[in-house]
Amino acid sequence: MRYFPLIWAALWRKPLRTILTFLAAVTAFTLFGLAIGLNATYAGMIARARADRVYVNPHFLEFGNLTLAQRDRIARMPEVREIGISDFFLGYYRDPKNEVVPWFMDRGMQRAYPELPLTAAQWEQLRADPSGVFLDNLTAARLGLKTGDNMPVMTSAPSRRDGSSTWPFHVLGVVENPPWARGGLTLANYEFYDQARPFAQAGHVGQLTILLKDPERATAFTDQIDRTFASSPNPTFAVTEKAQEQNGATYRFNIPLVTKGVSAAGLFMILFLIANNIAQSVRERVAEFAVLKTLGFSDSGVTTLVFAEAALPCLLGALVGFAIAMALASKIAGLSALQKMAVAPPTLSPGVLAIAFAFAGLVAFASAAVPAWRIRRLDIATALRR
Amino acid sequence: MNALSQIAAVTGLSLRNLPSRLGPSLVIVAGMAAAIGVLVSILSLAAGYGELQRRTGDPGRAIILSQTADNEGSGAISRSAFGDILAMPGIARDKDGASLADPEYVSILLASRRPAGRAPGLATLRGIGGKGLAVRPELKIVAGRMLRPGARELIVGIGLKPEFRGFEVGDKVIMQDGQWPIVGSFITGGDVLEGQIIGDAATLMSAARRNAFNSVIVRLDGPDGLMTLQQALAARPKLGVRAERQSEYYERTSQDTAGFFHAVAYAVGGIMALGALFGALNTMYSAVGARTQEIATLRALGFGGMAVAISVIAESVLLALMGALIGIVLAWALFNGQGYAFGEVLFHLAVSPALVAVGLAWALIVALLGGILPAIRAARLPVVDALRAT
Repeated sequence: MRYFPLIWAALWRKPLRTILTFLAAVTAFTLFGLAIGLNATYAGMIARARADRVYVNPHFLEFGNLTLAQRDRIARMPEVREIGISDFFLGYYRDPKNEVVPWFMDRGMQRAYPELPLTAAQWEQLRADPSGVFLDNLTAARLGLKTGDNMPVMTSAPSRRDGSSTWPFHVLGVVENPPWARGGLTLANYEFYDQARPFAQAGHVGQLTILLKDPERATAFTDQIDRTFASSPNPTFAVTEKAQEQNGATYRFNIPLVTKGVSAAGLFMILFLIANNIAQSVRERVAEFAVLKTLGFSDSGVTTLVFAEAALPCLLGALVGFAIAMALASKIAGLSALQKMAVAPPTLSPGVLAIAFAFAGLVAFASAAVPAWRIRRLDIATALRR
Repeated sequence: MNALSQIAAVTGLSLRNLPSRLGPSLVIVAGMAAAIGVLVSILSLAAGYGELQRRTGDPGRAIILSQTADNEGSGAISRSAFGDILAMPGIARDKDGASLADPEYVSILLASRRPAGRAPGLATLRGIGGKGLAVRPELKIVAGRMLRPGARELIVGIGLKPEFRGFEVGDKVIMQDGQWPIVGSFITGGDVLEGQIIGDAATLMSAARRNAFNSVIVRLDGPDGLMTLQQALAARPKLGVRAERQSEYYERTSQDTAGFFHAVAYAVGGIMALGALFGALNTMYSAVGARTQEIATLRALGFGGMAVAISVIAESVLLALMGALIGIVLAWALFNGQGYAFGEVLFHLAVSPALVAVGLAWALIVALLGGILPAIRAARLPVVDALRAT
């Protein structure tokens, strides 16, 4: 830090060069922040995926279903620790624009999916008052509902045993939105749903959520489930939570590949610029470095000065670029195009900033290595004579 | 000396000096290669996707959907409505006088993706009727045989194989009512169907316990066919269906995705280009700095400021175009023709000639922007001071 004025003065010898370098670094790291931030969003989802959780879906997503009998059969398998059932339908509240997707769950979900933001008391409330629902704060705000309100949910086709298409829910409470549920939550009671829908559909299940005793067995277990039901009237498609999240990251856009490619291209772009500038700056000031050495600066001292001169615009650029990326990310998050394409917004976490700094340092190091080495080897007498 | 030969002389001189400014010149080349390479790579996604939709949408065909349906996935056309559609004017007829209209059923199927261990993907399952091949003559069997009408058999497009497992001729596919064999594979000249599974519409519907078709595909009778058909359908509002030219249908239903690809490409490419612009400005200012004596000498010899300015811009343009070409060639080598699965839609990335033009145009703009300010500085260089400075 003692030599900061020295580095600062060197940078401002050619102000235009320094400013342009800095601006190029800012753009490169804006892109870097957005790309790596997006990658971090998906990497986070994969990392948080539980290795011991498996989902069983109907093989025919559109018209298929699972049954309670299948649930009972799977529940008896020795690998299964917890099993929960869930189902949903698409409906709306008052206006077709106010889409509502009630997620019906049984008590098994309390243990099979403990991430659900309901306390034991709230689960008990849901059981005792079957037509009640819990909303998360996003959904409550979107629909303008609060605890105690009635919440009639309409469906486009009659979906009840009595031939009506209105589900008379009411709001039991509003819970905190968990970040994994970006679209919001409407948590409802499966038994209520099952008893009110047409007889032909009674006992149908949308999805089974299973916790296994041994996570190592997860993939083998999914294969086993699918084999078991392959020629039944309700074939299954079982998937581990890990595989599901990995799939989400590459399903339409190959997020890891694209984000890494784009950020590498950005860094490549500024690498040449910074390498060129530091080489030029050092070439212009050979005599100056010779004087510093004469004054008693050590070889490593002058080398450090060169590295610092290259690193400063990079690190500052990374910081400012990160800040811009953060501002852009919050704008992007609200874009409907992104939601339509089911792309999650970038996460500009401190971890991403640390990665940006690390790469800024790496770019500076790579670009300054040759000039720094030349200055280290500089022969004072020859340099001063020039 | 006239202006043109002045410009030629000064530009030639500056370009001959270029090797002595190799380092700074590489900054422009590398920057543009990275920026244009990224732009063209992402655009190749949009180009490949657009090409796929264009190949599928035949202007000589129309798709008939229910009035309320936005696309074939949500369409519902009853068997009796299909019977009425068959009698409509505007639809081409074969030599026996039968309407070239084919009812289609569309569903999705979970399928195992390659490599093993990946979560399942979705594949489109399409049911065609008796006139399927007459309406879609581009469908040709390349292995095995065509499915028999009414049989519980499937044929698969060749595009599925690189992306999914279990879709070889002879494999069995789990269906609602048991396992169906794959009896053949087909090509369609690279359209959407080539990444889909095809079965007999009526048989698929009975397996899925469904009783409505999704859409009807018809071959239009001449250039006025669509108009005639639309008027006839409008005269029968109870049918509740409408006809749309197939090419327009695919353009309409793909525009959200295509627009998104373009938005991403131009946003990312735009940021990269801005970074490349700062690099170009830096290089050209330092080039003018390095050429101070040379420029002052030329000016003292009577060369005009304009000639000097243009030589600076020419250098910037040349370097930028070189970089852009490198970026385009890299994008082409890495991505052109690569298979891509956008969900259940399978296509090939395409670095088309149009994209080459877009990439070069961007490079040209960045080069002009990056060259113009340094060029002005070069032209305004005070000759006496510059000469004295040495």
